[in-house]
Amino acid sequence: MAERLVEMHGLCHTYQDQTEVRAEGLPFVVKAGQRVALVGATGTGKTTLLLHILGLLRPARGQVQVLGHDPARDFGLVRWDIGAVMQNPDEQIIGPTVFDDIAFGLRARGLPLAQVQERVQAIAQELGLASLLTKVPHHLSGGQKQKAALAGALISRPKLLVLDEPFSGLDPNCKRELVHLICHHSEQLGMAVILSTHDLELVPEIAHRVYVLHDGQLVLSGSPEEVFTCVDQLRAANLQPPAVIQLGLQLVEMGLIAQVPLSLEAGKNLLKGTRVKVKVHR
Amino acid sequence: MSHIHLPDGVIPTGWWLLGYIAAFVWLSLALRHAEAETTRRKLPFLAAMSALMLLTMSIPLGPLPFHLNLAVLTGIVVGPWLGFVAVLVVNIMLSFLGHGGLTTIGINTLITGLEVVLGWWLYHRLLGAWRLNWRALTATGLALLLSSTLAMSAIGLSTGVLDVGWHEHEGEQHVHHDITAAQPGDAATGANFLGLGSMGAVALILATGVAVEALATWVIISYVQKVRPELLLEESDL
Amino acid sequence: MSLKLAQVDYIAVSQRSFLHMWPTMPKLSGSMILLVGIIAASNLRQGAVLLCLLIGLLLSARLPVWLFSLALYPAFFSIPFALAQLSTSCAAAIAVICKAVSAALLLALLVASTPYPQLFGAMARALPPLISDALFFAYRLFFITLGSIQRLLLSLRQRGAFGRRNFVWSCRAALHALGYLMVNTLSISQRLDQNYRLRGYGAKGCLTTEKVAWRAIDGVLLVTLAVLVGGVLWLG
Repeated sequence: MAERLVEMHGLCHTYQDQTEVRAEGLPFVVKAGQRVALVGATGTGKTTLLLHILGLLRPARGQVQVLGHDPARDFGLVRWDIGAVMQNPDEQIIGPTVFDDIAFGLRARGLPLAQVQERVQAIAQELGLASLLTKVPHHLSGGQKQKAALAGALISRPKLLVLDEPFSGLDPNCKRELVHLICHHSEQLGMAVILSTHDLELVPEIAHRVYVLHDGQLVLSGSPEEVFTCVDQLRAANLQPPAVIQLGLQLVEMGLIAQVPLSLEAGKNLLKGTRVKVKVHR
Repeated sequence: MSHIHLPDGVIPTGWWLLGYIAAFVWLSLALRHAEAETTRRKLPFLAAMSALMLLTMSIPLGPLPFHLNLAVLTGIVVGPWLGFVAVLVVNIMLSFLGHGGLTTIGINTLITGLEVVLGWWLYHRLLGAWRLNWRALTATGLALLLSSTLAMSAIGLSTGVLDVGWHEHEGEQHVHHDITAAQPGDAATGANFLGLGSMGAVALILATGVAVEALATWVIISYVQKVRPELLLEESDL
Repeated sequence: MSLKLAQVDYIAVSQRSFLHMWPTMPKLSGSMILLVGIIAASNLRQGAVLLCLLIGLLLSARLPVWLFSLALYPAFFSIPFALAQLSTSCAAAIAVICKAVSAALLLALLVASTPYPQLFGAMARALPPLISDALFFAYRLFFITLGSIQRLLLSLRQRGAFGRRNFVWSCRAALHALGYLMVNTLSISQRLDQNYRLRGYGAKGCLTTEKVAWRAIDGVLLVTLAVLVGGVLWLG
């Protein structure tokens, strides 16, 4: 049984302007090596929930446990095992050069510069940033900044990677590239991933488990197939299932395929060999 | 606005060295007073206010020959010690862009730092019972008036600029005119007339600058008070 | 001025002149030698020669000529000091302005040929960690906020905030925009801080990894420069 890295239940937080954000209902659990997507419409509290997991906010009610600790109280202990990429990469890249920003976490831990350089070069090669290491951040494109932020989070080989809307503002190719990088590193390092997004198209490719947040409640949880086939509940939460799943549901209803595909590739495989009668009106 | 961006090479070496020494002493005090955790927490605010001061200085005010600097607002938000550091950071960057000079960073920082400290003290201490926006208006006006007066005096003393209007040269000799004792007709030489006129013009420009900055700070504080009032209060007031 | 800083920053990172190639520490040292010469210049002839030398550097490095406009601000600010010298002689007054312009041009050349991480990284060796980190943070926030202010001004203009009919209302709108910008920038800085706390930041100055590079040729260049400046002062 995989270790539970994150456990959260009955969360409630009140901001200074008295706005209350809740994530009650189903318990939120993330196991080691598991990739979890937290989906919900804009303004439902996804970022607030993630900030509690990171230990940057303290809940007014509820419990949050990360790696067996209260992250807000034991912030100094927990932070070394967590990597984070926040919504706006501009707000988290502050190193004078890309190299300095990626290296920051390791230098803050006191690693020797030679070792830091080696690891930065390695992660930069993997993420396609090797030619950008000497660049100044404000001359990078959005996708490059996102990759630089991801490199900075991955370099310390965290047990848990937290990503807040990492795909916003990126073109489809960039998104796919990021998805591939996240999955690859998660499998390589046995790293758990929590990813918040309202772009559901990519979730089936990346997540093992999905949680749906709506109106202060975690209303749905399960595998992507289990969650995205609950079309009515998703629509009630102001979400649309991915297009391939909507099409898959129609095809299942028509009896053309036996199960709902989670990707275009899976759909193609399911349709192979299917004979379809076509009526031609002359 | 209360300060001139003193360029390199115009004030005597002794004065800018003294400026550096005084700024260094003040900075040492600032770093010691700002406790480690407060400093670490307020460093982003310090940097944000420095960036804002730089941006605001580039906003033209129509025909007026000066700009806002938000020094007092910086003192209100980050405190006197870190506010001084913010001013130092801004002056270092400005020195590379022709607003001030490398040798005059110390003296430029002292002049603007004075606004920060005076503004903070007036806003949080002396006028603490007043409403926030009136506090801001009064604190900014008084801080700028005081720091401008001191700045002009220091500049005048260091370079003898003030002396221009009160004497003229007849060949190799300096001739000082006692303008208080002389008859209006006797004293109406070109140098005296120029001297009084130039001082009057400087005073008018300074007064306008002080008024504009005070009003601007008042309006900004009124806005911030509605949106994030906790930014304008000290931690002991929260 | 903020746009000029953005333009200067771009020139520093994108152009490749002999000034850009010169390592930062020797370049800083050379700048200090020239600055000492400018401050020590006691007459118009010495000031003018040094100014011509700097203009020569600007042109030979193929840097944009508009950089010279950065040196014109000090010309304005040095006028009161020049007036004080007017009673001595006209040449003395012009020398004051010449020195101010030369010093500003020198620093403009330095910042336009040195990317800020290298420049601040070199300065960080002489500054307390808090100051050097504040410099880096502030510079970065400046560029983040510059984008915000440009978009904000555009939005205000489109919504008629800067009409000619009501001057007071326009000023109020502009100042409220500044207030919004202040709140927004402080919020961004808080999020930056959150992220950096996560990564272990403790205000101990470990933002840059710039190394100091010295070569034998740099020593030769610096000595040559010192002799040149000394010669100008002695012969002038």
